[in-house]
Amino acid sequence: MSWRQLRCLVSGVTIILIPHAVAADTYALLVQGLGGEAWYQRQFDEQVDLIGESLKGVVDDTNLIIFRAAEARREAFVAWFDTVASTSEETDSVLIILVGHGTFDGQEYKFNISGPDLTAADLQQNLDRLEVQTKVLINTSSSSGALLEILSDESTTLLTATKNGNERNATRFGRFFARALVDPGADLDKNQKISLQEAFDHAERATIDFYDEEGLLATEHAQLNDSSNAQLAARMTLANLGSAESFERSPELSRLMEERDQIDRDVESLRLQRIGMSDGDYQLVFQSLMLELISIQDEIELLEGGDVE
Amino acid sequence: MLNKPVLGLLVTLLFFADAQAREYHYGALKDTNLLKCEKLYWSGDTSEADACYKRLLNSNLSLHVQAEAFWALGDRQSANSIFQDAAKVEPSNSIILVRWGALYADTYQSQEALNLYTDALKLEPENSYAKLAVAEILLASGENQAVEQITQLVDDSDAPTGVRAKATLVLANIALKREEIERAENLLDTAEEISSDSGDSALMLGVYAMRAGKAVRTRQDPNEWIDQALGINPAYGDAFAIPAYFYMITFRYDETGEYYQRAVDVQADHWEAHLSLAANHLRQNRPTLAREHYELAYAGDPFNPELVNSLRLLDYYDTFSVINYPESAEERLLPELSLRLDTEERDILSPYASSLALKAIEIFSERYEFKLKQTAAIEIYPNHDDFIVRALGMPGTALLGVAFGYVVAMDSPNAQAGEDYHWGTTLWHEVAHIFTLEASKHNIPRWFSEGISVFEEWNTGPLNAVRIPLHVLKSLQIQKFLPIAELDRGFVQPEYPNQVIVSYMQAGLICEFVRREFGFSNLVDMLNNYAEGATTTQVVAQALELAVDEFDKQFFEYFQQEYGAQIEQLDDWNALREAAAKSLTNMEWDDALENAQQAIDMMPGYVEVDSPYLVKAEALAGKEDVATQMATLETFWRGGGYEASALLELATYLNDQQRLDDAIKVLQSQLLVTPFDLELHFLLGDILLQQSRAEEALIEYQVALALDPLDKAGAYYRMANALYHTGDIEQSRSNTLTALDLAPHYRPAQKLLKSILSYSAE
Repeated sequence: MSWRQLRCLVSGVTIILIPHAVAADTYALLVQGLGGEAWYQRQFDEQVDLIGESLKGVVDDTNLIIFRAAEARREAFVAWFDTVASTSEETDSVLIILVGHGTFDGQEYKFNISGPDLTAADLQQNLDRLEVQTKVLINTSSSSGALLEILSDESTTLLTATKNGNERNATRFGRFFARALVDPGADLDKNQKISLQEAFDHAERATIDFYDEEGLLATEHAQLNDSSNAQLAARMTLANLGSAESFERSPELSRLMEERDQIDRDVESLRLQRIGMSDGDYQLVFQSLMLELISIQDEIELLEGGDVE
Repeated sequence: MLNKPVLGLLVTLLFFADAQAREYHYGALKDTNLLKCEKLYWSGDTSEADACYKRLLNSNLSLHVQAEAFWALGDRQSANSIFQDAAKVEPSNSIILVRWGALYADTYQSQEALNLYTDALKLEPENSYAKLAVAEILLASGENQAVEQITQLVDDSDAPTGVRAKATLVLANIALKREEIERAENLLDTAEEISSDSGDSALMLGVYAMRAGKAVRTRQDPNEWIDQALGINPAYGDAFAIPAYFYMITFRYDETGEYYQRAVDVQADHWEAHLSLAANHLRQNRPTLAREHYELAYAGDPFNPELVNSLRLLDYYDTFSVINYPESAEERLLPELSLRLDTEERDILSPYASSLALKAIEIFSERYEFKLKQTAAIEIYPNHDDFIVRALGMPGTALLGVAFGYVVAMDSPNAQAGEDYHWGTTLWHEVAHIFTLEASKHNIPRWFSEGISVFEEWNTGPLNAVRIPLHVLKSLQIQKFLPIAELDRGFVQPEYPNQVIVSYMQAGLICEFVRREFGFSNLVDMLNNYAEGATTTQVVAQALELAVDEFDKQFFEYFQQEYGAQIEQLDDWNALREAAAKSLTNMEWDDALENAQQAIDMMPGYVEVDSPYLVKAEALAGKEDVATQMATLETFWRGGGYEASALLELATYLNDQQRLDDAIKVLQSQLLVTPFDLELHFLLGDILLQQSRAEEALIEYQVALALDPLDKAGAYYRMANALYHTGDIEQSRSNTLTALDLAPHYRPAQKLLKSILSYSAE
């Protein structure tokens, strides 16, 4: 089979496997809990700064809400859900990030904010109110793993800093997670974007290294429960490392971007067919796709004013 | 390294149990029916003895006698149960408790045995059998005051003959281990006198076996004594096992194996001999035979924890990756080196371990004029307890490496994670042992083998500097070195906590002194003299033409001249160092600098992790004087310092300063400390590639990939780039495509693919 025949096979399957993207909104809520001590307050300030700045590059300004410690109260939290519940559509996504301290008394998890704390039940009830298909909750607090049993279902992708509620010590994971969003080293697929999966992988490794290097017994074990069938964690972008993509593209640039996206979809299709192919055939087709991709990226760089070697 | 010297060979003396099978009762048993069976057994008529013991079972004889019969027949559980009943029936019979305790001791339950002996002594405070048994348990747990209690029993004319005979043999055994030959001889004479007077020929068995052990210890033929023992009992395995033990602790493993084999030949149920034979097979690189005897021993003695540990280890050992060097079969008849590595560490450690070991073999072959006759096998264990079980059979010792001759076992850096462990120096030290053991035909005292290994660490090893740990210098403020002829004592029976390490240093310094004052060739002469069977006194006389007393005098003068001032100033130096560290904590940079500099001036060669160089460097960092900070770290590194984070900082600086060759050297030195540091390999690979050393860069990237980096695309791209520069275009293309498969938008990889395809098209 020639590479052209193989290439055709790939394109054919693409149509079946990859649905057209549907324009949708992402609603993001970033909540900073109480620090208690000044050191933690500074840590949480820094983390919320980093995460907030990163989200601004990937979420529409009007859909991004950040509650700093002073504003983060239960009423505000519920009010945000009221708004999203009334305005969101099924195809939209909801992203909630909690940065702070959590507690677990063996029965109930609480995220510490001013006034009454947010409980696991609060989180569950409010998430249940939303009819969006994609719900992501990131909770970097101590004891956050208590949520894994309560909120794990197919509609919610959950990231926690601990594996259960009994890991009660203040966590390091949040700091590494926030830093991952601005660290090119976390961009494992080199697409200038940090996905939820990449940020998790980077922060998880950094946390393990931290405890190893300090010679400490690890008191936290981060978990990512991606219960969606579509590898949501790998697809959800949390940070854009490159220049912000302009919404006003020239027709030529738009065409190139669309061609590049098509190649990406072809590559994904090819990967799905890999089991039935010899390594040589796979590399042949893959190389041809790469050459197309390289050519398109060269053109994009030229249009964007870059130099192509 | 010298913070953690390699305690390799010491442990054989202290931890390997003396080989004994079923133990004689030494007069503790009185029942005539039982004694009849015992007599048959100890005269070697084992089948008649078995029949005799069986007749005692379910008889009308006392429960105690039945318990003994079950025990003799190998049914320890029934024996235990019946001893329990016997103790209830005869609650005031202390000897039942003593024998029941001995059954527990026989099944490695020392605490339970001790409890029963203690109960026996409550019933009968003067029970000599119980006293001796307690003392033996205390002795086995390292409590040397037990020797005094045993001596009292020997001198106690009221004690039963059997007790006195056995106590004397225990003392003779200790004396032989300590190489106190004259004392051992006197004790054996006493034991023989006591035993022969008793008219109990079985008592003589132990005397003859120990005399055979003494013959081995004094490098004479033990067979005269073995024959005498076999004349009494042809199935007496200890006649061979005891001399085998003394062959083992003097590192003569060929003879060790031969005599343990003969022990099991005459007494197939000598389980401890099977165990020791198995351990010796493993020492000699014969794992299949080792397993055979471990399994035989386990079938007969499943209670032995050392056996259980060893069998588990052997299961793990079978999973090791074996890499032979040279790797190509056509290039060799016999590999020069065989590395055995945990599968997960194989690709990370093998490039560095092989390179270092082959270099050591080349250097030592030339220096000691000795070519290895077998493959040097080096096993590296990622788990410290596995290594210790490999070395000693039981975990729980702070040992880093051990050499059995051609086989070396050692800790991997992962086994010492979080510690300041220079694994490259440990490997160097152990490979030196291979040469000293083999070149001397295993006729070498402990001190000289360790001395040469330490000396080679200092002179040819990766750190290449004389390093004496601070705690050794502190010890020498109040302690004195041993005379050369007695230096082994410092290793095998230390009298103060630090003496083993002090002895390592003394041994190394003696070799250093010989090199300086007499020439290196005299060290080689000494080794060859040992090979001929000479004692240390003879070796010093032959190779250095000095009496040992004169040698000691000259050596002590040398040491005083070289290190006397340092030892005298040690307290002042320490005060300066502590003051510098305190100032650093308080961010008083100038004070820290001044104190650190004064400490450096007093002892410029001190480069351990608490070195004043590091304090000075940190103070300079506080003053933002980067150039001087880095110059300080460079001095520290060139002196043999290897603190990981400081040297990574230095390498990064040197790289920034375009001093690429120096940066490479710093990073390469760190591979022998922190080879599992991913960033180290990426950085080193990148600099090597800049210096057009693509082959070496490729190794670093391969190791980095084996470390399972998150950024696999980056690792494959780097490999592809290095391969491209080596001219392996097809492999480069393949790795580039792998990188792009992980990260299709990866621009550097895309550009490399274009270059590769352009190159191919040309």
